[in-house]
Order: sequence, then structure tokens, then C-alpha cells
Amino acid sequence: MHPIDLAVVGAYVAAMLGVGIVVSRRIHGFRDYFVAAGRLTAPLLVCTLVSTYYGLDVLFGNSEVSYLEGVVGFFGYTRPYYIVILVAALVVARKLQGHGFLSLPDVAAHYYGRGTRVVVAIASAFYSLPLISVMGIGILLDVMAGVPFPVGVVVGAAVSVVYTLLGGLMADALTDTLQFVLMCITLGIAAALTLRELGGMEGLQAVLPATYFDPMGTYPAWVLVVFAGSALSALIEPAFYQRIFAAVSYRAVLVALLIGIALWAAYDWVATVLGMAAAARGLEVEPRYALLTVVVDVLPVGLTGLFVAGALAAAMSTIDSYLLIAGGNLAYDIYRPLFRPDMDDASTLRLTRWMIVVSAGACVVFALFFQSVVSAWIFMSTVLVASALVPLLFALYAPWQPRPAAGLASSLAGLGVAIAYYALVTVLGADDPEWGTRIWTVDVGGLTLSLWQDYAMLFALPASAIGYAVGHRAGRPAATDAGRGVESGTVPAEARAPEEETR
Amino acid sequence: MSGWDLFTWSAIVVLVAGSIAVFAWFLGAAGELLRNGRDEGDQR
Repeated sequence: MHPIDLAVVGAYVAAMLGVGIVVSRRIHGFRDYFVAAGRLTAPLLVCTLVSTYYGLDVLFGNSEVSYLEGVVGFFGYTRPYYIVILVAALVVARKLQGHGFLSLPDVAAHYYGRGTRVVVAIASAFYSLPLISVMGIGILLDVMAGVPFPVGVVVGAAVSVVYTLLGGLMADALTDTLQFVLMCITLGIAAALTLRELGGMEGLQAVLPATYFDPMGTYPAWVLVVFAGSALSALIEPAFYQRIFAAVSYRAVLVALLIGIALWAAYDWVATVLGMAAAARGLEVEPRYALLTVVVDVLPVGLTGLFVAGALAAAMSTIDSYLLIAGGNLAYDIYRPLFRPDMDDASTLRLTRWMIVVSAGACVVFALFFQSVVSAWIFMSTVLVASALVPLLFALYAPWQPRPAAGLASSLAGLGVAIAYYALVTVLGADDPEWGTRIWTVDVGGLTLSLWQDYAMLFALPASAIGYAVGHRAGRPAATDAGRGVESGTVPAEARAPEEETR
Repeated sequence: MSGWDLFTWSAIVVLVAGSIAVFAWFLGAAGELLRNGRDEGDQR
């Protein structure tokens, strides 16, 4: 990288840390730290939602698919998310905002009690490990500075931990605003320059096979079903819930999500086009490196640094948000209810910070395990969707009273089957270089089945639904305290929103 | 200009102009956010 580019990147990192240090002085307790004391306004929500959801996972995951397959990266892989996010904004957010919850497991605890809370918290913590963004920093440092991938992963995680520990959600949201603008503008400029060089989309059409412009691509249908299924994670997205609970009002959530969907769609399409541009230029690179390689080739000095800062911004805005959630899940949703229900606010805050460090360590281990950004993302979505989607949707919309046994059986069955399936395919399957995943080929009565690693959700989600049905039939309604939920006192008194005290 | 081109350039415009507009909106509302934070800090 040119010294000017390095200076731009250095200035960006310094600015982020500066904001974090200033805001960290306003942290007085767990609620300040974890949900910014419920002070997130609509513009702040737009910035933090868009930049948190869209880290390097989307940038590299989407371009990985489009580099190999074309526009299906947009139509098959990312488009289902907008539909699910719209449903989440119109239906789920309205139902949950203003209840005084602090996390997704808080919601599970309210309807099903402590057992389901812990299972959902484990899945949420695992889902929230920002391993794809950490992988993204590893890729970035590898391509830009020649740093070996494992070293880049460790450096990325270490820098992000320091940054996350500083200021909690408010610092996160404020820095997200700068990161949001940086990543959108640099990606837009990179796309414009790349298209100009390649003769626009018509130039791409002249070089790439016609299948690259088929919205369904050449993926097997089941893979597209899995892509759409992983979009269901938006209904139970821990970062989404955290921001609902941190918003000043439901209206702010709704406005932020509607604007966010337009920006997400634009971002996705631009990343898709850049992946295709890498294929059109005949670049022979690992698919996950495609976008970065083409952008570096096209951008001039100065703008390259700005793009790297934008890509770092995309990664850091995701890493800080999700490490915060993972740490909160481990400390507030698992340790506190299981081992120290009377833990005070200051101790919860301190333990959360320690758990953020633990989460970052786990993140590095997983980042070095997965080869494909898309495979890693689908696995994490599967774990969360399989354990939390069914119990949560039944709790919110079924006409009958939730039963603790139903929630616990559903979440355990989903989580167990998802992990068992991955373990089976990992042990008995083989790597498939064509699709960049692991496939277990099984002969059943003369019929050959190709079980992709990514199909886990097709088994885990029905298992979760069956678990719910069995638990509901076998269990009894919980004795609740005048509708206050199964596990009253879910939120520590000092952490609750002021208005909840008077409810 | 083909439909794909139109779609792509529209996405680039939405991405760049939209993010700048949202950032400007945030800056406009930042004063209120800071005031709220300060008031809350004063009450503690």
C-alpha cells in the first residue's frame, strides 16, 4: 500500500478509538453499556442497523457467490432478507418494543423460563461471534499488506476487542455512523470506476456466460431454499433485537428499517456487480478474495486507502456490535441466571467485558476453521434459526399459552440436530472444490443423495417444530405472575428502563 | 443503456447519495442526542 493510503487507514482507526474513549466516559451501568439507555434515535438507528448488518460477510460472501455464479448472489442469496426484515419491522418489532427486554434470551425467558433462555443464549452467543468479519480483516490484510491470513485474523480480533470494550452500544452506534458513510461511499466509487473500465454491465454481458445473468443461477434448488431459510435469522437477529430495545420508539425502528432496506439492497447489488467484474476480468483468485482484488486494481492512490478504511469500517462496525451481544449473552443471559441471580449491575457490566474477550478468542478459532465465508455464515444462521425461531414465533403469535417444556424441547431439538448434522457431514463427507463446501454422498436404496453441509437447516428446523409439538403436548402451562412472564425479574431492577418500574 | 446498467447506476446513486443524506440527518439530530445524554448525566 502507498504511504498516503496507510495514512488514511491510520487516521480512520485513530478517529474510531477517539470516539470510543470519549463516549466510554458516559457509561454508568449495564443498561447504558448494552442498550445505550434506550436513547437511539431514527437516524442513529439507520446508521447502526445498516452498518452492523452489513459487514465484510455480505461484502465478501455476496461477491464470492456472484464471482462464481453471477446475479443469483443478489436474487437468491440476499434478496430474501429484505422480505424477512420487512416482516420483522412490521410485525415483530411492534410486538416487542417498549417491554423493557434487553436481549433475545430475555424474550425467551419471559415466555418459557430459564431453560429455554439458556439454550437460546448459547445459540445467540455462537451466532454473534463475528468470525466472518474477523475472517474479512484477515483477507483484507492478506491482499493489501501481504500479512498471512491467520496472523491477520488474530490482529483484527485483538484491535476490535480493545475498541469494543471502550464504550458499549452508544459508542458503537456513534462510530457506526461514520463507518456507515465511509463504507457506502467507497463501495459506490469503486463500483463506478470498475464499471467505467469494463464498459458497464453490457461489457460484463459480453464476457461472462449467460448463466451469470440468470436470477436463479445454476445452484441446486435446495441450496436456494437454504439461502432463503438462512434469511429467517433476520426474525431472531440478536443485533436487531438489541436495537429495537435501544430505540426511542417503534416509529424510529420502522423508519430506520424501511430506509435501511433501500440502502442494503443498493449495497448488495453493488457488491454483486463487483464480484462479477472480478470474474469478467479473468482474475484467478480464491472466490472470497474476488471483490477486494478487483477494487484494488481499479482504485487510484488515496482512494485505495479510503476503501480499505471503508472495508475496515464495515468489519469493525459488525465486530464491535456482535462481540457486545456475545459477551452480554454469556454474562447476562447464561452466567447470571444460572449461577448468580442476585448479581448487581456493576458486576454484570464487568463480567460482560470479560466475556467479550472470551468471545473474541472463540471467534479466532472458528475463523481459522471455515474455508468459505458463505458456509460459515449459513452454519451460524442455522444454529440460531434452529434453536430460536419456532419457540419465539409460537410465543408471539400462537393463540395458546406458552409452555416451558415446549420452548425447551423445541430449542434443544433444533440446536442438537443442527450440530449433529454438521458433525456427521464433517466426519463422513468430503470437500467439493467446485461448490466450495463439504458434501456427504449417501446411497439409500439405490438412490444417491448429495447432502451438503449447508443443508443442516432443512433437518434442524423440522426437528425444532416437532420438539415444540411434543413439549407442548407433554408439558403444562407455567404458573405466571399476572402476565408478567414465566421468569419474572428477568431484567435486573437497576438495568430496567425507567418507565418499566411504574408499569 | 440496458436495464442492468440502469439498475446498477441507480444502486450506486442510492448508496452514495442515500448514505450522505442519512449522515446529514444524523448530524441535524445529534444536538438533541447530546442534550438528552447530558441531562441524564446531570440527574445521576
